[in-house]
Amino acid sequence: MATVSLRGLTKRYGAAVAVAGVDLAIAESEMVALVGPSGCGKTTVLRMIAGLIEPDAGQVLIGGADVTRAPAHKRNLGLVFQSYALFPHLSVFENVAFGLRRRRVPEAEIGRRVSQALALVRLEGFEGRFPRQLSGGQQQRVALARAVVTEPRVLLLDEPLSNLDAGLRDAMRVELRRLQQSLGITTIFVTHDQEEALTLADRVAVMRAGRIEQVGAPQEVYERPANAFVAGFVGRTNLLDAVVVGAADALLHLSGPGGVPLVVRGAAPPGARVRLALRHEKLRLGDAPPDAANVHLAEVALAAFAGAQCQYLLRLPGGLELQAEAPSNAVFPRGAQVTAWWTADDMILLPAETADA
Amino acid sequence: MPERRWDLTGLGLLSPLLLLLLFAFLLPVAALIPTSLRPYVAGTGVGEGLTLGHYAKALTDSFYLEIILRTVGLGFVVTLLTLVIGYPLAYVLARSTSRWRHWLTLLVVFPLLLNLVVRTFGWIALLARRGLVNQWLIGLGLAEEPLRLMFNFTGLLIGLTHIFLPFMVLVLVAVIQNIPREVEDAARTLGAGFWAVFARVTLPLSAPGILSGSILVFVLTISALVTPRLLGGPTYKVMSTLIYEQFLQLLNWPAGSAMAVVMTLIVLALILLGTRLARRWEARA
Repeated sequence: MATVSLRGLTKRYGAAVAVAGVDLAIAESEMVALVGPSGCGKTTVLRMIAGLIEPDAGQVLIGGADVTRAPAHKRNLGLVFQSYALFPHLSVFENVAFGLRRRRVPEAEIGRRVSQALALVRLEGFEGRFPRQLSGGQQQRVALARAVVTEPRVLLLDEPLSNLDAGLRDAMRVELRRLQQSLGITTIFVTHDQEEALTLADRVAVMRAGRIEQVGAPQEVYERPANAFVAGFVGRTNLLDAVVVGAADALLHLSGPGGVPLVVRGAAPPGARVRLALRHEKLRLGDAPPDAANVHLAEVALAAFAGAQCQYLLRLPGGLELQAEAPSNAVFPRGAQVTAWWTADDMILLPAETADA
Repeated sequence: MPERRWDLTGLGLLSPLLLLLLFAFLLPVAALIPTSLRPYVAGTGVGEGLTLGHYAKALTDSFYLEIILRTVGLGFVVTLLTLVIGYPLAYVLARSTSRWRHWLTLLVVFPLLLNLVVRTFGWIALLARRGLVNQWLIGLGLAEEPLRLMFNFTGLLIGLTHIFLPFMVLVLVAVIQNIPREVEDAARTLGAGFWAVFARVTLPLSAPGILSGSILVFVLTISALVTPRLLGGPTYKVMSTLIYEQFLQLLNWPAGSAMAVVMTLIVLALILLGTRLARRWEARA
């Protein structure tokens, strides 16, 4: 197990910059998610750590040693590909044994360690099968066993769950976390699924256009997004532009879209244009408690039943539309008049310098 | 059963090809068999009655045996040479992302655009006793006497390898291109250097292409007529030139037919062996 440190990692393809100076320090046994929309450079970062892509600038340090110029086969990392990339001509046993054979591990030990690795991913008895005889989930687990059997210093996962169907994905998510914790292996994984990143990782690095926008614990990134992009990408969010009209008791009074009055905790000079984020689930429907700073009468423009939750599109007087998500124990039909409310702390005041993003 | 229906659909899709094979290949070859069992009568050609004499002669007479062995040997060596020369070339073509790639591919295919006879005459100009190659060798002091590069095994080897190399390369490029890069990358992250990746992943995964390319080149080589005829001259014979001679010069149709049947059987045996090997590979893969 080892720490990983990225310093000013940069990759260009012609004029296009895929990764623009990424700095990131990952602690021993930590699980970090690189999350962002497709094309944000997250997979390129992962491949540069693995040594499959050579960076144009910057450094990759593993366990404190600079491996930037070390070839992939000398880095001793485990990489699980999105496509699994199993060897189609080799049995499950030989797939898992591949890395051990390259390290000239004695035959008896290979047998023992392959069995161990297959037991770890619950694939005992599949040694003789070939990849094409396995389901997607089983191939995924073979790829995982193949990556961890060599006891790599760092485990890298590229969209590990995206090729699985929904039910299997939830099960594998739990499996993956259990495996990572029982091995205590430093793990970096790439995903476009913010929910996957939040539930699985110790820390989340949100990327956009080759840069890291914010790094932090899932809760931190969720509760205190650094800018509008992070607020919009992580979780379901309403983004509102507003103008500060006054301040009192650490609360800001603002005028939102369509002149809707808003109250948020924070500080900004009067007249400043700011951007606010309001999570769908923070916007509540029904009788407002006395401490609710924002209370509005709204019309249900759309209602969508989604099992435990109901999703709403609410139209406020003045035309402002907000999305909300509420437990479906009380379902409001389309056209109903409801009271929508949230507190001054439910809404997030985003830093001004990125308000244009 | 849905699988049954699938089989029938497959048969339906294959039937134009099957019909073509039946009328253009199987029937003509089958027609050779009765002819090959007739005696040869000088002057009139095909005689009355039945005989196995032509087969007996082809398989026991040292003159014919030598030609058969020479042809098969030539097939193997040309196949091996095109494979050894063609694989690295195909690998570079399949893996290169350079803008020269298309030009290189064109260069490989270019010989196919030239008439076979023209290409072969080109080789004659190069390989003849007073040809360019010999002039250079003597001019550079690398040889005292002109080397015999034509009317022998060397000449046929050079000419046929050149002609059939593009076929091997094109088959291999298609197969190597289909090997997912990520599978090779996976091998690298597992500790395999360039040669280990090649030997353990790329080469085994391109085995089907090596096999089909080899069968193709082998069959083309042993059935080639124009190049052996021109580069081998009237005396250095292979099976195809012998058959040609029997049919068109000696009018010995029965002997020619027998030789043609023997050649067809050799080809069929090799294709059968090849598919058997391919199936075994697939069973492992």
